[in-house]
Amino acid sequence: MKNNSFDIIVIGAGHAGCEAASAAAKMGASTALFTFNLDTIAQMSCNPSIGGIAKGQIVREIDALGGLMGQVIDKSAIQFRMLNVKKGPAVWGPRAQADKKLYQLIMKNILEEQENLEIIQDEVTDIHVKNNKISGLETIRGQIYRSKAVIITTGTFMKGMIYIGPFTTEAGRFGEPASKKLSVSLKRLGLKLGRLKTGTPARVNGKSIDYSKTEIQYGDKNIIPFSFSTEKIDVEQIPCFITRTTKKTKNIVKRNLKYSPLYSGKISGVGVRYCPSLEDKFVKFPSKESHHIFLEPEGRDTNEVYVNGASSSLPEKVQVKMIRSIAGLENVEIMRIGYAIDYDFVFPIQLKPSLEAKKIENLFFAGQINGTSGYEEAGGQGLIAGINACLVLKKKDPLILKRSDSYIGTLIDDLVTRGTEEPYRMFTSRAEYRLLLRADNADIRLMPYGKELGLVKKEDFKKMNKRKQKIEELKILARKKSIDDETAQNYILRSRSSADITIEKLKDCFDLCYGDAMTLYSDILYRGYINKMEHEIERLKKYENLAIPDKFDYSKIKGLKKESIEKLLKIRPVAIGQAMRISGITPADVTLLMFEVKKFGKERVKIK
Amino acid sequence: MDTIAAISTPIGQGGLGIIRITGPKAFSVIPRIFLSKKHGKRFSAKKQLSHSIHFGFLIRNNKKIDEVLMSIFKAPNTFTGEDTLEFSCHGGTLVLENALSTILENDFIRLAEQGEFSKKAFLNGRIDLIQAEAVADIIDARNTLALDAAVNQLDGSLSKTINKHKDRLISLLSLCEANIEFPEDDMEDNTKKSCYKNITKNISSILKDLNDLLSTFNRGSLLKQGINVVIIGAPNTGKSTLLNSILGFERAIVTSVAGTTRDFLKESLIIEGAVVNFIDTAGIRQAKDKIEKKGISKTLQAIEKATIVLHIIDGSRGILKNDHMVTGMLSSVKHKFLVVNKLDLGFKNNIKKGILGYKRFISISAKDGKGMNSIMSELKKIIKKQNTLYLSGKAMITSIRHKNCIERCCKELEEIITDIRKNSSEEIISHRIKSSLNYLDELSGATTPDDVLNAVFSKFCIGK
Repeated sequence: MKNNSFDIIVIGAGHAGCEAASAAAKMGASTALFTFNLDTIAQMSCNPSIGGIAKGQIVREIDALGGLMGQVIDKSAIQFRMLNVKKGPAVWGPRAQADKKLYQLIMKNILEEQENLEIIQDEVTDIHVKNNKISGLETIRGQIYRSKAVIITTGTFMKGMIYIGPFTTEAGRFGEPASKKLSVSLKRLGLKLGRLKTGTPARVNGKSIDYSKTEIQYGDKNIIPFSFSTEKIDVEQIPCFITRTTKKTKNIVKRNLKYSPLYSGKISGVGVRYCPSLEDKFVKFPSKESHHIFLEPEGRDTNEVYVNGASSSLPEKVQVKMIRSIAGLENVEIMRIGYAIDYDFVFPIQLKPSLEAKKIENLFFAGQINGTSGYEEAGGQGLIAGINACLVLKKKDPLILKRSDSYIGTLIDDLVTRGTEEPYRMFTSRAEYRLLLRADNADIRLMPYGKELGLVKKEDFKKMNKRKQKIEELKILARKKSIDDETAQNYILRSRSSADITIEKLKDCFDLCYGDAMTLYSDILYRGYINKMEHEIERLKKYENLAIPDKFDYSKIKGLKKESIEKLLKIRPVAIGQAMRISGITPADVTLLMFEVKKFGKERVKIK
Repeated sequence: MDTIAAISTPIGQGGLGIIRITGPKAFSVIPRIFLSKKHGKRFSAKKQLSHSIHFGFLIRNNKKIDEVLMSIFKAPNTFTGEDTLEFSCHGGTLVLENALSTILENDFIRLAEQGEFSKKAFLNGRIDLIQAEAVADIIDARNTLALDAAVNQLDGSLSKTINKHKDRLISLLSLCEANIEFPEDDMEDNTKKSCYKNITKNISSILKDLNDLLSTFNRGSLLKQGINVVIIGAPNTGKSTLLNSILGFERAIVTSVAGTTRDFLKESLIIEGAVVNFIDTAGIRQAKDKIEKKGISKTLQAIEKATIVLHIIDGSRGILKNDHMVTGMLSSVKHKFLVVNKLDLGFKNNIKKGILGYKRFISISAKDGKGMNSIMSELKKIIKKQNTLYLSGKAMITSIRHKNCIERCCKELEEIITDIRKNSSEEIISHRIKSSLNYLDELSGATTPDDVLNAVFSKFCIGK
C-alpha cells in the first residue's frame, strides 16, 4: 500500500531539495522527495563544476553540518583546483569539475539508501493549507498527500520560459517541462512572486574541437578534498582548455544584437551581472576586443564539452556562427544550443531567517526559487530548510546561522533582510568576517551544530575536536615571547613576519596534515585582524541577542519615520541586529527601536 | 509625533522675532490664532502653496495682538520634515511671549524642548548626523564666523568632502575585490602590481587631503571656542590695567566671568568677527612657596592654550630678573608681543630694540590708553590670518568626534601603504581599506557590500 502521509515533503530534487530531504530524514522525520524525473536528481543545469571562490567555502560548510554535496563531488570529480592560491588562505576557493552524470547517480543512490526517505516521481500542482498552516499537497493526477511541513525547492521550474532569439518555449530546463500550476497556488496563498533571468551556453562535441589552438589547464597535483570525512583522493584528472573569442565573434554579436531577446526587451526578468552573456560583455565593455572562453568536459564517459563564457540567447543560426568563430571551435559540432531562461521566484524577504514563510506556518523555501544562483548557494539553503522543518515539527528553536560563523548564515541573512533584485551569488566580499570564514576551518566553525542535530558522525566530530585542540596549543606556543630552545619549530613560530612562515614549513616542522597546517597558518597570518573581529562580534552580540517580539507594534514608536516603519513591517526583523542591516534603516531608527523594545520587555515582565 | 512651538529668535531687543511651530497638527492652529488680511477667518492652509508668506494678524479671543507675516512650509520639504509655520512678529519680549502663550493655549501644541527642531529634522532623515551637529553649532555659535562655519557644515561641505574620499576608497576596494573574486577573468589592466601601485598612489593623495582637513581642526575649534590672548608679566607691570584698557577701547564686552582658574580673569571680545578671549594671569616672579609655584604652573597651562601672548613689562623700572623669567616661559609661543608699559612715567635707558629677545616692542601707557591702537592692529592681523582658511569656504572640522574618526582613518591608511610595501596579499589590503571606510562611515552613513560589488561590475568585465 502506498504511504500518503509524511512529516515533511520536499518538492524538487535539485541541489537544495537533495540536501533538505537528506537532512530531514536523517533527523528522523518521515520524508518524501518529489521530482519531475528520477533521472534528473541533482542535475547540474549549467556549468559542470562545484565550488569556487566563496562557493567552495559553502560546500565545506555544508559538509561540516552533515550535508551531502562535499562527499558526492569528492567521489565524482574529474579535476580539482584550488583557486586563488597566490592570495591568502581566507580567499582560497576549492573547486572541482564534475562528471555530471556520475554526480547525479551517486546523489540519487545516497538518497535511495537513506532511511525515512521516499523518492517519488510526480508533479506537485497545489499546496494545501489549513488555518495558515501546511496540511498537505496535491499532484497533477489528483493524488493527495498529507504532510506537516513542505519545503519548496523548484529552482527555475516555476513558469520557466526559455528564449533562443525569436524562439520561446515553456520549460524548466531545455527539454524538460515547466511547473505551471504551483506558482498559481503560491500566489493564492498570498506570496509575492517576481521574475529573474539566467542563461547557459552551448555544449559541443569534444571530438570536433581543435585543441591545438587552445591552452591546457591541468588540475592540482595535491588534491584537498571537499569533505572533512574524505581521507584522500587518488583519481585520474582530466584537463580543461582555455581559448578566446576573435574579432569575428565580436562582429557577429554586434551585428545581431537586435535579435537578442534581452536587447529587444522580450525578457522582463532581471539578469545576472556576474555571468553575463557574451552579448552583454560586448555591449557593456565595447573597448574589449576579446574574451576568455573555457572548455570544460562534462564527464568521463561523454564527449560533451561545456563552452564556459559563451552564454547566449541569440538566435540559433547566429549562435552557431558565433561559437564557430571562437579559436579552436571553427568546425565544432554543437550538441545543445545556449539559451536564456526566466522564471518565477519568491521574494525572499517574505521568509524568516529559518527559511519558513512568514505567512504560512511550516512552509519552507530554499534554493534558486529564493532568488539565488548557484548549486552551492542552493545546497546550503536546502540543508538549513530541511533542518528547520524538522526542528519546527519538534517544537524546537530553529537553527539560525550567524554572519560571524558562516557564509550560509551571511547568505540567508542577506536574503531575508535585504532581499535581492537580481540572482544572488555569494562573493567573499559579502562576508564582513571573511578572514574568519575560511574553507579550512569550516569544520571547527560548524560541526558543533551538525553534531548537536545528529547530522555529523561521532568520529568526524572527534577528529575535528582533536585537530582544533592541536591547533590551539600550537597557537599558544606561537604567542609566547621567549622560547628556551632554538628548534626549527620555535624559529618559525617566532618569526613575526608572515613572509617567513609558509604552510609547507608548518606542515613539516609539526608533522601536521595539510589541512591542519593551513588552519594554523591562517590563524597566525590573520591573528591581529581576527582578534579585532572577535571584539566586534562580541560588541554586536547585544544587538544580535536583543529579540524583537513577533507582533511588535512599530507604529507606536514616536519619531520613527513612516518609510522606516514600512520597511520594518515588511521585513519584521527577529532581532535588533537584523533590523540594523535593513537598507535605509538609520542608526537613529535603531536607537528609537531599541529603546521601545527594551521598554516592551520590561512591561511584559511586570505583567507576569 | 507631537506638534511643538517655540520662539526661534534670541530673547532680547530686536526689530523682529520669529515663532516657529512644527508637527503634524501645525496647520490646525491657524484658524484659532491667525486672521488673514486677504481671506479673513476663511484662510485655509490647504489651498496655499508651500513656502508662501501671508500677511495678517495674530489674534487672541478675537482680539488682534500683533501684525504678523505667516510663512507656510508643507511637509516633507521643511527643515524638520513636518508641516511648519513661522510667524514673524514685532520683536520685544512681551509681544513674543504673549503670542507664544496664545499658541500654546491649544492643547495639541506644546513648548519645544531645547534642540528639538533639529532632533526632529534628524529623526525625519532631513539632515545627517554631521548636519545635526552643525545645527547644534549654530545654536551654540557665539559669533558670526563660527556661525558661518556651522552653516557651511549644514550645507554639507564636510559630508561632501568625506563622501568624495569614501567614493575613492570604494573604487580602490573594488580593484582589490575584483582580483580576489575573479582570478580567472582576464583583467590585464588590474594585475596585483598595477592594482597596488594604483592604491598606493591614491591613498597617499587621500592621506594628504585628510591631513589637510585635520589641520583645520585647530582653526575650527578656535572659531567655536574663541582665540585666546594671554597677558603675562612680572607683578605690577600693569596687566590688569592693560586688560581694562583693551576692554574700554573695544567696548563690545561679550562676557565677564572669572576664568577657569580662580586666579585668572577672562574677558571676551568680538574682533574681526571672531571671539577673542583675553586672559589676565597672576604676576610672575621667583616662586617662594607652594601656592606661588602652583600659580606659575597654571600660567603655563594658559600659555599652552594661547594663540597670542602679550608679554608686558614696566618700562619705567627697566628690565628685571622676573622679566627674563617670563621670556623663558614663552619659548614655544608662536605669536607673542612685547608690550612696554608706563610710557607716561618715562622709560629707563635700557629699553631699546632687541630686548628680551624680541625684535621690537610696542610702547603703551595702559593708564591713559596710549598705544592701544598699535596693540589692536597687531592682534587684528593675526586674527585675520587665523580666519583666512575658513573664509575660503573649505570643509573644516570643528568637532572632536570628527577629528578622532578621521585620525583613525588616516592611521589605517598609513598601515595600507606599509602593508603594500610588505607585499601583503589582497584580502588583507582589502580588509584595511574596509576598516578605513568604516571610520568615515561613522561620519556619513554606511557603505554596503553592494556598493563595492557595483563598483566591481561597472569597472570589469566579469564572468566566465
